[in-house]
Amino acid sequence: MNVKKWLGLAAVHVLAAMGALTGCSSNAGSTAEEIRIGAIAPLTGPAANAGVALQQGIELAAEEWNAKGGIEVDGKKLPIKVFFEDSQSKPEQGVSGAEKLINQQKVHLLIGDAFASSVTMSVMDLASQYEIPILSGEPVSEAIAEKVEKDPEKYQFFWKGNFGSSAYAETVFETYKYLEANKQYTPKTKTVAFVVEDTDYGRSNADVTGKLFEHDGWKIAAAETVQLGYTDFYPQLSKLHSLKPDVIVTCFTSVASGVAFVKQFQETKAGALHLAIYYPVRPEFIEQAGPAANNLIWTPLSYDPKQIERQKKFAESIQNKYKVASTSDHASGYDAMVNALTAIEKAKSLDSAKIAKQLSNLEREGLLGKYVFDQKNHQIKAGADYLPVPAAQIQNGENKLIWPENVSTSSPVPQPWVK
Amino acid sequence: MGVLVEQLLNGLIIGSMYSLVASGLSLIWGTMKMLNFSHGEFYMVGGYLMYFTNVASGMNPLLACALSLVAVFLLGVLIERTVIHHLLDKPGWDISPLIATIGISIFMQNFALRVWGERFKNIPYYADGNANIAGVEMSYQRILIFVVAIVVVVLFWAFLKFSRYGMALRATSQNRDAAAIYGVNIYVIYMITFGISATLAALAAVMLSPIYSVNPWMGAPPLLKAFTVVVLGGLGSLEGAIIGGVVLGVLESLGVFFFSSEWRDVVAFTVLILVLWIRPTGLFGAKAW
Repeated sequence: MNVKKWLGLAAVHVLAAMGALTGCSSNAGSTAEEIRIGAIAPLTGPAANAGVALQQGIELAAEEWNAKGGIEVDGKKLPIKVFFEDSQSKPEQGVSGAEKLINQQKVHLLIGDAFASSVTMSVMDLASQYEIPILSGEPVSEAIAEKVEKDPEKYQFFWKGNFGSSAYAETVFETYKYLEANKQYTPKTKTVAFVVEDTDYGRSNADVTGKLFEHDGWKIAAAETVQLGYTDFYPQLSKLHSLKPDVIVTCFTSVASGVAFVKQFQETKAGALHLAIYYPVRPEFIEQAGPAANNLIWTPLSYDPKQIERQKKFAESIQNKYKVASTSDHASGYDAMVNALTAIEKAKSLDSAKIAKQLSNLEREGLLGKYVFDQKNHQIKAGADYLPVPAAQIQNGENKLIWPENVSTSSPVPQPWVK
Repeated sequence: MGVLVEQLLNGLIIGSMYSLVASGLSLIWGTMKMLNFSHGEFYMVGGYLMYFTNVASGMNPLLACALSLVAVFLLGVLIERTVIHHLLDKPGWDISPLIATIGISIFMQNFALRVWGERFKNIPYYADGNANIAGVEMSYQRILIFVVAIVVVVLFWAFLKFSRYGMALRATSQNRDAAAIYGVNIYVIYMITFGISATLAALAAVMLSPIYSVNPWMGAPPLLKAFTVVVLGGLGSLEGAIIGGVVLGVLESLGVFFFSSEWRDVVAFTVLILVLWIRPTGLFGAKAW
């Protein structure tokens, strides 16, 4: 190798090292003029209605904090600026968006992914790579928490802004046990079937819920995973018709899948007890599914501005600003953003380590409940004292809280199709 | 046995819609020798127009359907005239329409997202109630889908076989220069072909939207299925598109029954690969229209 080539190679290495150092910057000592928050969410694709609602919740929080004068950082009040990238619920798209926000927009904190567990599974590794605090929004997959638990040092900058799948699983299982105890349902074969979307979210929820049923002596008759946004459930329902499970648990993030499933479920006269996770949370679900939605039991009804006082004002703000009915996704986006801003406010700095430390100490009453992180896996605690995960039933076109019994607003009614 | 019959019926019904969407794609390939990547977006626009006419404006479903189909036909004609026509006979024709239709697809999806919003829309069933066919519960809506698919495919076949336009189209497909010499205005044929193809996609959306839903991304899955169908059946073959659609629908249903949902596409694509291995031109080769 000649001298020129050696010099060239050395120059490349020096530049690469400089780039790496810049990339690894933890924002310490920066003289920022604004607090730059990045957020990735599915702004297009089958989960876009959730993604856009999350975006609006985040924007509203930023606007309110800016109206208060921003946040004091290193003795100076700075305004908040938010940057969004579309993940399309795809991990590769999410990572690309996150890299863009970190490297080009130089964000100080990233909310990622605001919605999809699969995307967070990929994006969370950027926290240690770039030493930037990353807070996820709605993702619940247990696999995220397991990764943190295995290597807490690596994920010191990553915090999972929602509870784990086990919270959904416990609600589904305990609600079932409550129905059984109240003689509303008696199983014949003790078999349960799952129809869930083929994402980390769907699989994780089915897996953890299935284990609870199995632990109670049940058998899993079928576990059908379908792609995100899938709507042709006739083949799955025909199969379940022949297997005759006692209970069917469904879980989709796309409301189109949920609407299609319940309509086709009624049409094919399926006879199992039907419990659902997530999709009835969308207000358009009842409107679009119509009578087919009636009597469905689902979780989590954690956003109900008609009943919960602290959510009323927020619902009005969303209605006034965006001219849309608010959803739990709006509230999740708002809470995630306020959690992030609270940590920065307490850190009084844009230093990643200081923000991460304040995230770990977070103890805040949000719209959806009290946010406190579990230190062993960095995920938000679930339960009556933290983020509640109650079950509801759609009765005459309206959601009624049926479990836990002490907070219920109505008694469950038997699902008329159950044979 | 009963559940097997049920799965076959499921496959036939969804397969009939695959056939309808794929026929449009195959028609364009057969005539213009181009792949239309915006085909799924005509399906999407068909769904939205049906929603606006039938649900938002409260129009009678039949009238709403007719209006939606005419509008999509005109949109197809307009796009052919304003975009595709200018690429015809120019250097790079083998790739330029492909890029152009991808661009149209992205534009139409984002147009729908911006103008009509990200929230899913739903259309009520055109026919309420269920029928019990040999122990299988079947909604009248699904029976209607199947009947409409058969009627339309038969009418379409007869139209191509016996009408003046159909003969001109087939002549253009076989040898466009010879057709032009005999007085066929091939540019008008291309324009109408594009419009008919878009209308077939829109009809599938009109029939399926009450069961599924209307949203800006609804065109992507049927487009993927339609491409699979035309490859399975043979590019440019109407019989191939019809049989291929039904075969794919039935294979998918049986895949769910014998294995599980995640194997549905694996089963369908394994058969596709096997068919292409044995017959590289697909089930019906490149038979002329």
